[in-house]
Amino acid sequence: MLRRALQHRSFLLGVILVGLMVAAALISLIWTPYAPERMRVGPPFAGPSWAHWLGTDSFGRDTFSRVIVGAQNSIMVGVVAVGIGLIVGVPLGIAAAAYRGWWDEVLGRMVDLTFAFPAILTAVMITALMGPGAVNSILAIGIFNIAVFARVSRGAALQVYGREFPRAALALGRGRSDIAIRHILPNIASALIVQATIQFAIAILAEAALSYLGFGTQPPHPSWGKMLLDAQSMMWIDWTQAIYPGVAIALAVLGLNLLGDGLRDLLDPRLRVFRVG
Amino acid sequence: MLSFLARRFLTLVGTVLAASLIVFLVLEVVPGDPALLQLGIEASQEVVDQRRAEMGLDRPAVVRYVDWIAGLLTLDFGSSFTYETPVGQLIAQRLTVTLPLACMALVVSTLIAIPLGMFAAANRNRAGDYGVMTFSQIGVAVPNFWFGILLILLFAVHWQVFDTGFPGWDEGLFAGLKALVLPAAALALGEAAILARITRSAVLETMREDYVRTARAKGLSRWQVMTRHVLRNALIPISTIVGLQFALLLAGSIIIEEVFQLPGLGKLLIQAIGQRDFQVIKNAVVLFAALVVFVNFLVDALYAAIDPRPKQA
Repeated sequence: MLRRALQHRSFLLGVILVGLMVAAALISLIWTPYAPERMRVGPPFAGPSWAHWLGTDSFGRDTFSRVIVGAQNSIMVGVVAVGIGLIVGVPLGIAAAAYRGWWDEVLGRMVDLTFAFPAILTAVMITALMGPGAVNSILAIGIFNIAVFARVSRGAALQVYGREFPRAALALGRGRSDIAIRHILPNIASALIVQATIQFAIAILAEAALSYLGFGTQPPHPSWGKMLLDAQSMMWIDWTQAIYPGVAIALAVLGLNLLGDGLRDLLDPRLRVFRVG
Repeated sequence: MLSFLARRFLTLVGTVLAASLIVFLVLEVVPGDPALLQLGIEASQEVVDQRRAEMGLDRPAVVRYVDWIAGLLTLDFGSSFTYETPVGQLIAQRLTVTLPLACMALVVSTLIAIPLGMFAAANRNRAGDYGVMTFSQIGVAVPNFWFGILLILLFAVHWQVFDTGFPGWDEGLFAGLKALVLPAAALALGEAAILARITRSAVLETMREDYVRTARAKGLSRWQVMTRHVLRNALIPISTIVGLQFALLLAGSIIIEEVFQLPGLGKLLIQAIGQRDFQVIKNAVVLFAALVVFVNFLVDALYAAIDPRPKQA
């Protein structure tokens, strides 16, 4: 397995890119060249230099410090939004596969209904109601993830329930929840891991979009989407500031997608990844 | 076939109704007092009461919901608080930007993706294939709004061949379409990247079929086999995805209209949220959802017409 992983070039690239993002976030927890929210640490719109590796923005804030702190924000959004989807969606999906009947029907309709609202629309509506902010945008993305994980785990669990060992376990007197945890969950884990990686990437894109629209992380805390919005309005004076946050988002998403595709190849090449945005 | 479509249509109606109920509950019942929410907590009780009466909030929620749905059926969407204009009129105006934008993006995406996907499949595991797959990975990873900003940077700021904003259709068809070129390109990138990948796998799958080998064996050239046999059959799954992408492009217009300052439905929705104009928000959201569900229904109907299997499912 390890040898196959080391030979899988796109998987390795995914690991490196995701590793860089995580490293940037961890380092920024204990050290940044300048306080990311402090204004006038240098002249406004300064170009890249030894003092400011990626230059400064219109308020004279250090862009490199803001980009690496932005990684914290994206990772937190991804972890929590995917966590909500996994914790709520997976039990719902497995229960639908186990009980079938009306429960399955109701869940199917609810999932269809969630997908009737494209992710960005749901997120915009929820943040519109609950007010802008990082927590609300994470919740909005998480709600969409519940539907995704419910559907994926239902499909995968149905296949496992069709095999003989869950029936044998039932015949031996094991309870349904015991079977779900001991037999179903380990067998659908690869599908969930691969899907979680893809949803993580989608969560980063969605949070960046919401922050760009002004509904996500609020200033002065740095987020890649908001940095792009600020940079766009000043693009006529300094275009370079519109590059760095975008590159950071694209590399993070590319890394996660490559990691997801690589994991699918390594864990189970027959898996179908569910992509919906 | 007809009963399949009738069932799907009933599901469509049910989904739109459920969506409208959720939107109504979320926007008008859960917040408690939409009038107070709209005016802010500093507003005096008198003003709030007057607003409540104007908004019809003194009536029971069930009556308001039924009234709203009855209005929707007769295309009466009520009146916007901010614009003091019928919401139907506002939405119709804005759709003249959003629908052409989404259509143009769909055309751009399809015209880029299908040839690229076919080229990749025909050159499987060679440099061309890797090139297309790399484009696909990057296209999915680049956020469409950042790509839009880059396009503005290059074509509006640096080379100054395009302007941002929308001059309106009154300025002529060419001016209107020209203003939509960059936004449509920004919107299309991600979808083109996904569609290229799907086209590649659909074409590869079709290329493995016996009839393709037979066609080659009877002396048809690679090009003839590709266009006459492979592409035609691969188009069935591809057209399904193209249909579904239209719905995603409509949703994507919410952010792209903001990037390019286009007066479309997405921009209207974002402005309405900023102004807490619930009359506009609830109608725009339900319209977006209805469009998405309707496009999915059309795709299902098209798929059922081409392929017999879904009818038995």
